[in-house]
Order: sequence, then C-alpha cells, then structure tokens
Amino acid sequence: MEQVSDKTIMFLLIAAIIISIGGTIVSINRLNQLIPRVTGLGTTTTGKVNVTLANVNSISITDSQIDFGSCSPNSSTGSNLSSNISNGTTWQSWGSPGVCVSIVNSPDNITIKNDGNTNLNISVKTNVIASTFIGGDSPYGPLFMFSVKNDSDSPGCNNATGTTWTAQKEFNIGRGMAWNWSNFTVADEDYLACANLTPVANRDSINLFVKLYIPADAPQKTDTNATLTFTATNW
Amino acid sequence: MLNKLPILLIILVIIFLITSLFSFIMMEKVVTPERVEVKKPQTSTAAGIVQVSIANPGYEKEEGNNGAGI
Repeated sequence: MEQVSDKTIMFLLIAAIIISIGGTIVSINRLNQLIPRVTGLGTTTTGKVNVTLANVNSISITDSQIDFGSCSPNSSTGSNLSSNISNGTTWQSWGSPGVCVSIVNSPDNITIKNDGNTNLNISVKTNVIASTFIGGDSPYGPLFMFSVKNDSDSPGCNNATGTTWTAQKEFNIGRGMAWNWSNFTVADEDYLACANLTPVANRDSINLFVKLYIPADAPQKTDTNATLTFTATNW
Repeated sequence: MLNKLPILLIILVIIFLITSLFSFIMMEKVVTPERVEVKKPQTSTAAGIVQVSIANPGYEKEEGNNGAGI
C-alpha cells in the first residue's frame, strides 16, 4: 500500500479542525433559533410537576364601623356605653338607658375574617386614646376599651387543641383571645386581639366590641372618631 | 511537518472540550425550567372606625349602667 505523505496528513488534520469549529458554530446558532427548543428528553418519558402553595396572610373587615350615635352622658356620674348591648327599641342605649339616641343595627361590632390559608395572630391598635377621643376627667377619666368574641356563625379564634374551635377566653400558650375588656392606654401600639385565628371555612371570624366611659364633663363633640387598625401576622 | 502532529492533536482535543462545554451549557438552559419565586406576604392590615357624638350633659339620667365601675 502506498505511504500517505506528511502533507496529506497535515491537510486532513487542518481540514478536520476547520470542519469541527465550523460545525460547532453552526450547530449552536441553529440550536438557539429553535422554538420550541429541542431538548434531549425522550418523548415517552415521565415528567413531574412540582408546585409549592405559599402561605397567604390576608384579613378582611365586615361591618367596619361602630357608631354610638349622639349621647349625653349623665351629668353627675358620666356614662358607660358598650357596643355589645343593644341600643334598639327597648332603649337600652348601649347599657345606659336614655343616654344615646336610638341606633339601629345594635349591638354593634367590627368583624375580622381570616381570608388567607394560614393561621394568624390578630392585633389591634388605635390612633387616639380616650383622653383625645372623648376627653373630660370628672368624676373619672374617660375610657376606651375593646373586647373580642368569636363570631357565632363562624367562630375562628382557636383553642389549644386546634380542632374544636372552642376559643379560650384568655390567652394561653399563644392561643385564645382578649375576652375581657382591655383599655387602650397607648396610641399606635398593637394589642393582641386573637392568637391563632384559623382560615377554615365557617371557622374564620372574630368580633371586636368597644366600650366607652364618657365623663360627665366630656366636651361636646360631633362625630369624634378613632381609627382601629388590625394587623395580621402568621401564627 | 509530522513532528507538529502532537500539537495539532492537543488543539483538536481542546476544541472538542470547549464544544462539549458549550453544548452542556446550552442544554442546561433549555431543559432546566426557570424558577418562579412567589413572595408571600407576612402581614396584612385592615381598618375600622369607632364613632360617637357627645352632646351636652344637661340632665340627670334615671337609671342605667352609669359611672366608671368597670
């Protein structure tokens, strides 16, 4: 067999290098242009779909206003007004008969609902305290208080077991709610209203009630108001 | 001329390695789906209003839950 010359081998090598480089460039360019892109996955292989459901922290308010109406406090003792007591046709007047003009839609409360998918701690803060909101100091200083109860149709503030939704009246190991009247003594500070408000359907709401003590010498005011801000954090 | 053959072979191997690397990177881009980061809110807020009008305390009340015995 005839010997191949050095020049021929060199020519073949250089040709191989040029072809290799050129082929690579062309392949990469064309691969980029493919839509949809071609992959090395087989057409009959199995695939997996992974999805992670994120925690959604969301609350909503229904019946967002408690309006006590126009009230004239007792001229010697002042008057207590509790929004969980009717001010309807029986003239209960929020617990102080004759003090306030009759208001329909009483008793009145603010309902907080867990709209998300995770357990929440609910806190409440006010932009004003009683001295600013109401004023007066005789015979006692004014009071601006709140209390939390489970909504009767959708009780959501959970107990320690996490299964029966029989809410504890007081906080215990991070569960329960502010059942007893608590005074807003500081403005813009969070007060815990409910620990562990669940997102389960028909088990997701609490009601906040308000109680006011209006001193006898409270100054006359028209539609004085306080804004309550509810904040939900993950339980 | 033949004594340069090893150098040319080495160049050839390097080119093949680079080609393989490029191909791997391209395939990785094509096959690996992009991750979608879902940001989850940690807090949410809502607001309500408490309102009252205070009229002049001009007369004594007959009964009721008066006083600050709370």
